Amino acid sequence: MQDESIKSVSSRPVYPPVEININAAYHLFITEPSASSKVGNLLQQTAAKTHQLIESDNIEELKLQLTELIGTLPLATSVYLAGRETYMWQVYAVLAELGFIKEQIEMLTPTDNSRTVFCCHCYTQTHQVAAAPFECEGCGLPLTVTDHFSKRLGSYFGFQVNAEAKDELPAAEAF
Amino acid sequence: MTDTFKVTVTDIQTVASSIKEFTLSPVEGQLIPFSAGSHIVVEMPTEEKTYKNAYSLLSQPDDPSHYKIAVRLQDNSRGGSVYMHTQVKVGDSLTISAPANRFAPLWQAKKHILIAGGIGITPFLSYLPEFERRGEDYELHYLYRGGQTGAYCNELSEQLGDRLFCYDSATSPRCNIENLMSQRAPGTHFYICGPEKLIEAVMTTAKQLGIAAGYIHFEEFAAPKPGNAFELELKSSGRLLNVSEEESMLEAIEKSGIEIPNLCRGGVCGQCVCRVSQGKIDHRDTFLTEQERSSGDVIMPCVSRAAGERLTLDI
Ligand code: FES
Repeated sequence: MQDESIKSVSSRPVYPPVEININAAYHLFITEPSASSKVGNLLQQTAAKTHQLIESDNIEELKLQLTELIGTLPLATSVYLAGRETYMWQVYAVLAELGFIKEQIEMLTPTDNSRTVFCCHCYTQTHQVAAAPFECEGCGLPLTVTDHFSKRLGSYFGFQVNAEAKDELPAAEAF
Repeated sequence: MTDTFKVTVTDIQTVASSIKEFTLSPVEGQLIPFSAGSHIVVEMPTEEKTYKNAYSLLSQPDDPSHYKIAVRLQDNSRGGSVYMHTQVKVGDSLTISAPANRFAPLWQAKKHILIAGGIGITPFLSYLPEFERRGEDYELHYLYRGGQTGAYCNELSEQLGDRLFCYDSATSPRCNIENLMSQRAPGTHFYICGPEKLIEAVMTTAKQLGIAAGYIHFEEFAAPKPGNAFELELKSSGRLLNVSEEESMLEAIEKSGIEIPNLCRGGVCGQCVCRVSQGKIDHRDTFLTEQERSSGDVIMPCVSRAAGERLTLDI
């Protein structure tokens, strides 16, 4: 029962097609290095406007870089993010911390279906989970993955599968 | 209004030619502390009807010994402001609602730019002690008409120094909204309290500059404007009420003894929403979405009216 009720709460983000905000005074693209081609089209459209592309998959470094950059950016900045879902939400959290609001931040469709899963038993996050159930990197329990998404953590909520009948593990299914 | 209580008027000061400041003290015990930007609704029983107007609290949010409100005498002689200015004396008792807040500062902002038009300064007066306490970065831009509505300029300039920018429309150059809004860093939020025109000017400028609407917050102190009289039918009881020209639908309903939840009484908070089962609506609120408006089946009775001669509410 509980399984059902938790699973049915979906806060899975949706990613509608991204368009350039023509009113913005500055266009900032932040992507994982492998995903920079995803913004090619958008970059072209902003060629004549002030813009910048940052490719980085190191969130800590990115944070320092953005903290420095922000003093030079106008309030009317639009940010476009590309990469895996977790990556985009991690960058989102950094931007929010710096004062950006959600209207200014656009996310492209995630580059893959993998999820980061937050284990509700040991609070460890396991990255690049492609199918569930899977084994939590922290406590080793087999976790089932819900559609409950935490924007702050950039991860889905996972809990032990079949806690009452531990030997009956369902077959793993890809997301 | 379920949560009301009595207070005593312990002081009245004329702070500008059209603005009086009232100090309200508890009849017994202490008042409820409030959050920066809160308002109360004051009941004003006049002969023809009981006015209920919302006023921002401008005293210190953490001081439960008294509340302060400022009331501007409205140009058209209608409404509660006349009552407050001419009838209320020191020692009188008034019925007020518990404080509610629909205009709180956003604490995640990196900088707050407050823009006040005339009496619109009032909600910001309770922001300032909180800003100081938390060490927030802010500016206050105060637009007023010389002598008439610039009540707090002197004491503010002592307190705020170069964070305060005064624009007296009688003597100084007009406030250039575009200059005020450009060259700001991400995380700068704007708060406007004042007449519709000022709010519109800021919104339009934000659009032109490409500033996201989420950075703009406003409180309009619109009292319900009069309109044509109409007949109001309450579907469940079949009762017929007459809404006069000078009266809002909400007031007419309350007069008949029916309570409808409400907070702002100015068409912004969304509390008073009612279903309409028949009749055309003259929407005057800022709460409903375009879609809800055109659907024609919901109304905010605190400000909106019938567009025709009759309206049926599903209550
Ligand atoms: S009471 Fe707030 S919208 Fe009507």
